[in-house]
Amino acid sequence: MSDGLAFAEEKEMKKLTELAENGWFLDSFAFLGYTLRKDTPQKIIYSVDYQDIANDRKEYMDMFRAAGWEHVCSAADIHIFSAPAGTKPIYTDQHTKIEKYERGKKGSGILGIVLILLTVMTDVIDRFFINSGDSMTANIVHYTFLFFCIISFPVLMVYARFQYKIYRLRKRISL
Amino acid sequence: MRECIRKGFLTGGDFLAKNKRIDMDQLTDPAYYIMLSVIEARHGYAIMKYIEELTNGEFPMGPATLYTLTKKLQQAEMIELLEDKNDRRKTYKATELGSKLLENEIERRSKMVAHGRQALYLTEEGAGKDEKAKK
Repeated sequence: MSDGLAFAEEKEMKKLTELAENGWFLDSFAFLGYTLRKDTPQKIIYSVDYQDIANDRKEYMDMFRAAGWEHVCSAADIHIFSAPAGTKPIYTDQHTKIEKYERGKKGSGILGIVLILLTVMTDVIDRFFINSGDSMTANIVHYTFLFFCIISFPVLMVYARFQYKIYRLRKRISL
Repeated sequence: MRECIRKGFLTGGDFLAKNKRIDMDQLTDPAYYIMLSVIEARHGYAIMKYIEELTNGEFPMGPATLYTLTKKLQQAEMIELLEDKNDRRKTYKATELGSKLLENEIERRSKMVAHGRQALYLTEEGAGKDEKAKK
């Protein structure tokens, strides 16, 4: 079970390191968590990157491989890499690190806007186009509205979390 | 929705590139080292290797930083991707604009170092004079 990448990235990566020390390795993303696989225990570290690599996936993967980072899994523009403990970090300067979270923020922001629009749309349909209170369609529209409400909330939280991370990194940047 | 996200990223990127072209007459430290390593055409792995050799490993270049900056430098038209016929890997090379900006940057940075040395030398001399005055 994942605590959420955006919420506790460092904690999450440390947890994966501890799991690897006990012989459990990250295999792939799963709904609200990860799939793990059993192997001989190893001291490895994990890093996550947010990057649109549709056009030059090969260049991207080559750079990570050359630096000793092995690609583990991806979901949309989220990519997880692993490397032996002591490998140089994937981001070595503050400016590009801030850009990473700005990309994450943008992704969650767009998703947030789409979800809010859908929520409002279903509410409008519910209010103006559905007449009878307990017909099948009324129920479907109503539950769809609730569903969008429920999934919009964490997306907006993720957005806020990215914004906070950017703020903290900006404060840490040299004068 | 996926299409929508992709479009968002693209327009965001174009917007950034326009802004960057203005303030790219000054390079950040990692961008400076990347530009130095693509005076000759090099692929991603060779850029990292070259920076390591050039700086005796004193300037670490992470792969995510390298990828982010090669994309940005491409958008700012300071470097270009070349297709190698013999090799499947693509190589990066500084454009004319990039080379010109890099020359300015080397000049700017060497002036700054000279200023630093000058200021340090003057204070040391000043400190020496103070000691002499005390005697």
